[in-house]
Amino acid sequence: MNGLLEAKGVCKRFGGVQALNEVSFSIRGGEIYGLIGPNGAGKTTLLNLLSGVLRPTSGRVLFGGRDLAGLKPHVVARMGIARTLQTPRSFPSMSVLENVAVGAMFGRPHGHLDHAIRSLDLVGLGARGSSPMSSLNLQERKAVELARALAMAPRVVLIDEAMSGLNPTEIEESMRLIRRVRDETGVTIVWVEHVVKAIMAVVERIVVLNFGAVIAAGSPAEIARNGAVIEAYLGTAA
Amino acid sequence: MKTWRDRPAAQVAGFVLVALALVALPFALSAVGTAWVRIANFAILYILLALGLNIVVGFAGLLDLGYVAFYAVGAYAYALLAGPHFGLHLPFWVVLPIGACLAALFGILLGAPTLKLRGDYLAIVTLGFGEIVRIFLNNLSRPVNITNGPQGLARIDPFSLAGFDLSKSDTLFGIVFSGPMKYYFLLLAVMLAIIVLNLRLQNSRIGRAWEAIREDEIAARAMGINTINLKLLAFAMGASFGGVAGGMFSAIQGFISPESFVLVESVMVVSMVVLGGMGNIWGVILGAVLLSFVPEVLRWTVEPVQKALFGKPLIEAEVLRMLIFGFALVLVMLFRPAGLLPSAVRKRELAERAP
Repeated sequence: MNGLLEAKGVCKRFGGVQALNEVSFSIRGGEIYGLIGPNGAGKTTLLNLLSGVLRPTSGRVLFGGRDLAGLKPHVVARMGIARTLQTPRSFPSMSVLENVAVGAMFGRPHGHLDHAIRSLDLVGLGARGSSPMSSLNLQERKAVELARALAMAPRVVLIDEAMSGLNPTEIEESMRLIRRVRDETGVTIVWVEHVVKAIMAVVERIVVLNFGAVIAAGSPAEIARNGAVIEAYLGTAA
Repeated sequence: MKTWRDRPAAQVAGFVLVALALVALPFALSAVGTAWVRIANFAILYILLALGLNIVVGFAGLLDLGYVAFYAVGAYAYALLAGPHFGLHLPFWVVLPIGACLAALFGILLGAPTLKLRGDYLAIVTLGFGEIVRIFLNNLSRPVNITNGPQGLARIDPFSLAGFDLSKSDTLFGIVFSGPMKYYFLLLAVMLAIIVLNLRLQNSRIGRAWEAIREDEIAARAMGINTINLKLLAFAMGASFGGVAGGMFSAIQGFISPESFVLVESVMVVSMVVLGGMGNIWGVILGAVLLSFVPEVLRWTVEPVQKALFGKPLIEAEVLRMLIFGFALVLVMLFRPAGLLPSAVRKRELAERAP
């Protein structure tokens, strides 16, 4: 069966460092797909390959059957792969709504403002549209970033570390938000996360990276029992 | 809060008043002396330059310290295609667009290799670019004489349309229009067109994309914005305004040389943009008017005043000008860091940061 977004034997080298080695997976349309791994496992590198920021050294990334090789990031974005960034990068001179409207503006000639308002409502910040970005806290800024990605009417949203820096209550809220976004828009979500507990409760399938290679893949329940995963996170007994 | 913007009648009345003042200005100035009409013309030229640079610096956030190079390209394009040097005398409505396109091409020439540079590094490269262009103009007299080197180009054609020469005075409807006055009205028309263009540009998709690039280039790219093309477009558009201004400068002066396009000119235009308010069209215009009129006012008042007070001039106007410039810039940076008329955006940012 063909997935919406697929990695086929993807390798990425930075000089002598093998950041990713023969990574393959297939993500179905409409699912929430998790991507976890310890520090330096290659998670963000993989996300950069999926969004066209980096090119694989070998292997292919396919979106709807089309190879992303050689496409510029802005072209990939317009094809329907939106992303949020690890540390929220907003446009500080613009209001919250204007930030989201930038996402809606490109490749959407009409009604981009309405679309931006709807995206902002979806993440629960509808009332903050005219506030300046600097008045938002970290959680809200992450939500704006998600709204901005959704405003592009994408088929896939890549989320890079939605939970880092948030407190337990905020993590709970963000988990509910990600699930609600998928349920209401049907968008496919690829979620890279460090906070393992949060991602396990939300995603439907998960892939685990360690030192650039896939060490396990499956449902959260399967992953939780997987010996290799436990070893990667906790280390082997001495 | 109700402002004049919410009252259409007040708005219309305001526009009519400004329009009348702009039309009456050259007549009032020529009553004082034709030299003042010339000064007004140069003020408008500086407004054109400042608006062009504002696209690059204010909208797209790319610091350009070699902007005068595009002014030079436009000026030399006009001087060579409408002057005795090559014996070409093309009409201005042919040469000005050529000059604008040529300047835009030079803008892309500067923009393409500097796409990955930001801030200080970009400033240094653009500074070098401005100097390179000037040095070329200075030395392109041998082996083939193209620019006539440091001697410059003289007897450049004035603008003329259907036998109507803009450099000579004419009597229309019983009113005497001097040469500089006619140029004033032409410059005024060009300036209005460019202001309208700028206002439209600012709120367009392109303007929004530039703002996004200025604020965060990586995020802008992730939003589907083609940052490469848009940065080149900013360079090209800014440069083409400079090219138009340069062509008009050539025609009004009748003589140009590399001396007119030194680094200080670039610094002047950057100061106008920064002093007035980066990114705000009205602020930039105010900055250009202030910085081009104040030195002239000083030139005409400083020495007579000193003579009256001390019997002899102690400080030259030129020296005092730089002193006042320096003071003005320091004061503006201290008390109005976003410029005299900051853009709404920057005003909001600063208000947010204040405790």
